[in-house]
Amino acid sequence: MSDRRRLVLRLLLLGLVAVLLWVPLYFEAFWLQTGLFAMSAAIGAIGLQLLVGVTGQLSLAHAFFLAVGAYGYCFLAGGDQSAALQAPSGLGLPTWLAMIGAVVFAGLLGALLSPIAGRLRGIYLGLASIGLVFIGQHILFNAKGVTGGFNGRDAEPFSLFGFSFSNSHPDNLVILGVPYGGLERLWYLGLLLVGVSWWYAHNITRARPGRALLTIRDSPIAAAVMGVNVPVYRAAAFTVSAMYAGLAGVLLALAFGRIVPDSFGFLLSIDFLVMIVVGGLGSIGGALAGALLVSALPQIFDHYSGSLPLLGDPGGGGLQPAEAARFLYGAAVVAVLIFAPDGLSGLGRRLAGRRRAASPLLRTDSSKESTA
Amino acid sequence: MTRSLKVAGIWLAVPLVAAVLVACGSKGTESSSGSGDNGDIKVGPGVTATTIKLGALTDLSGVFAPLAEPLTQANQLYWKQRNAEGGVCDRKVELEIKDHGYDPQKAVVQYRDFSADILGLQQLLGSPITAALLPTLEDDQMIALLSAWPSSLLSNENIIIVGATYDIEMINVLDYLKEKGKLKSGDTIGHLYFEGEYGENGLKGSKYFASENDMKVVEQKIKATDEDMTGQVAAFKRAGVKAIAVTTAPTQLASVAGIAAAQGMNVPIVGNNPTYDPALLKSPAAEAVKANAFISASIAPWTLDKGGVQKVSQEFKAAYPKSVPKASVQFGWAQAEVMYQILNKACENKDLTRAGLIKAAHELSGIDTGGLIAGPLDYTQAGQPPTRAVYIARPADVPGGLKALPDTFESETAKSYDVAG
Repeated sequence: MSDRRRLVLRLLLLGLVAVLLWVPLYFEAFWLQTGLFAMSAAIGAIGLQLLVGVTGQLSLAHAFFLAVGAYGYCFLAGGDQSAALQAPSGLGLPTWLAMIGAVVFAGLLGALLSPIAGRLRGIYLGLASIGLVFIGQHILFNAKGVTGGFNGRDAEPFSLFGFSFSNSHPDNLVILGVPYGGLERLWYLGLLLVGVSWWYAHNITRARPGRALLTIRDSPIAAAVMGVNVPVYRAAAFTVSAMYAGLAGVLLALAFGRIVPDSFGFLLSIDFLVMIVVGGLGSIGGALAGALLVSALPQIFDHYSGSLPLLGDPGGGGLQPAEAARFLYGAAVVAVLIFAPDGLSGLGRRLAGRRRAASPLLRTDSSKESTA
Repeated sequence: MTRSLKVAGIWLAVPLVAAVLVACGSKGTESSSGSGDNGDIKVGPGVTATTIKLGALTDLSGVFAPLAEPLTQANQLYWKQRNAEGGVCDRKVELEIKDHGYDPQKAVVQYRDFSADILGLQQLLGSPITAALLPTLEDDQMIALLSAWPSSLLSNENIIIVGATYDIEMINVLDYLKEKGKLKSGDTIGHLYFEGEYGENGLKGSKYFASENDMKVVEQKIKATDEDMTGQVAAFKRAGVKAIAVTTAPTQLASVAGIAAAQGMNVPIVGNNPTYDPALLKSPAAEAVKANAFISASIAPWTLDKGGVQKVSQEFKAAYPKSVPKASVQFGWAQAEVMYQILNKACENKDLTRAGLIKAAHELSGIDTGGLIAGPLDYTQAGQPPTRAVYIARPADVPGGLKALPDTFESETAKSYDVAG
């Protein structure tokens, strides 16, 4: 890659970061809430991409690990809830410690379950992992002392050095004439977490472990011949993916403010698979784009569905706006897969005019940088 | 230019660009419009000199669409008529309806989308959605009229429940069976219920009734996706139950009634209001349902011979001729009526703010819905259900599919029951 192109890319990236930092100053709560859910989805999608796109292992248990992260955070950070509802118990740890703890806990569970991932592959692992989602749902509904049952439990607002990412502490924070409430503050926390997640995954894929994982994806036998310990690498990918899901769960809990079991059903796992397929299997940047598309597009369509032509009033006859939004979303996903079979990342590469024949080994984002 | 200079240039350019963008930030100035003093009445978000905007978060495309659609249409029809008569507080009421499709994440985003522009929620449907939104609703002091009847939410003062709660429905109908001699002390009741808020609230009622009357409850917990109740009915038969209580969806009621009849178990089956749908009368279990089911609901059945109920039935039929008659129409109408009463009271108090609405709501007592909801509604008792009366109805081939006893039923056990206990 020439110096000039690198400069342009960097400028674009910095411009994007600047725009993202500026968003809370201008955009309303709807956009911030949608954005926060999208950020959580992005972190989870990166994790699943490492497992499915990079290592070639199918997992449908992502929703389970998200729930572990979300409930783990609430349990570790929670504690002194008002006694109005039968409050679930908690440890009352500092929230930053609870965040780390929840991610580590998700990782530990992932490691514990990873022997399955080491032995099974493809659709077999996918089916085995479905079970986890249903077991998880049962526990969430019934372990009321920890999860709060169907009522769910509150997520303690994240705070660092006395600065709380909520509406208070400091109260009535105003920056440049804009009141900074919980959503505005969380926006920056979310950006930071997404940034760190992307950077870490990016480094994994372009370094030695990434090459080993890619080799496992394309030919486990070849990988073994070259001295890669296939079961260990598969298990490691499963564990790292679970930790990513855990972090996504923590951010999801913070974005919700209160989590309920229904948010972590089987459909969530499917959503994550759609994200990485639409984004382009194997590409970390693609996972980000896919997460944005899948989690934000239905909301945005819904937001503007009132101004779509030829629709009935909500509750009245005719095609409902929410249904129309869903049709549009479905059509968008199908269109992406038809016109960009290699996902959004492939589309991005083609638009950038780099039609190099990508070797199957180097089909990830990391290839761009490594050949520069 | 050397490369290092270029890089330095970029790092300088970014803060500059950011500063320019910041200058465009205008959110702080526009977000607080719409509140403040308006004449001599204090007004909150969503209120202008001529309109009051209310929101509805409902499910028009998910699992509860068959119930929620007529319910929402009844909300709309009520306000259309009320606006034609001059509205409330010299203002017309506008409803902004959002369809969350029973997805909590979507509902939270939709709530954020319109919460700054509405005074209150005319309708909030879905227990996971309600649970997820609770802290936000409290922060915003947003009043919300629930399309559900769980007693666990009675302690939240911004949640308004229109009618008797599931536990009270259950106690009343079981007491009715006892009065009719179908249950006596020492008997066993089988209770089939959904995992979750709804089911467990119903179970709380039957357990209380059993403990007060020296009876026993055999529990069978199921998931909403379980449709074949063979195993559960067999367990009830083994336990020798004298009555089956059902806190589920209509599918499970049909399954229980059909299987019990096929096995020669001729016991009464009692159900909460969401267990019944007129479509059951077209199912293979229709005869068994008609023979054994008793439905307990504080909402009046479609055909109840009371002026208020008949008026709503006829006007709804005229406005939506293709609709299937069901009781959620009566409920939607009553829900809107209660909101009207709250707005009216807040207007009298000259306080159309969100806090003013919550205060006004809890000053209301003796609300007469013309029979749409059993008993006068009283919201002045903190943490108590607004009514403890229900209609006891039997499935029958009439519009709406239910025929109720003409009078409301309110048992002594239901009256003395402590909902917080």
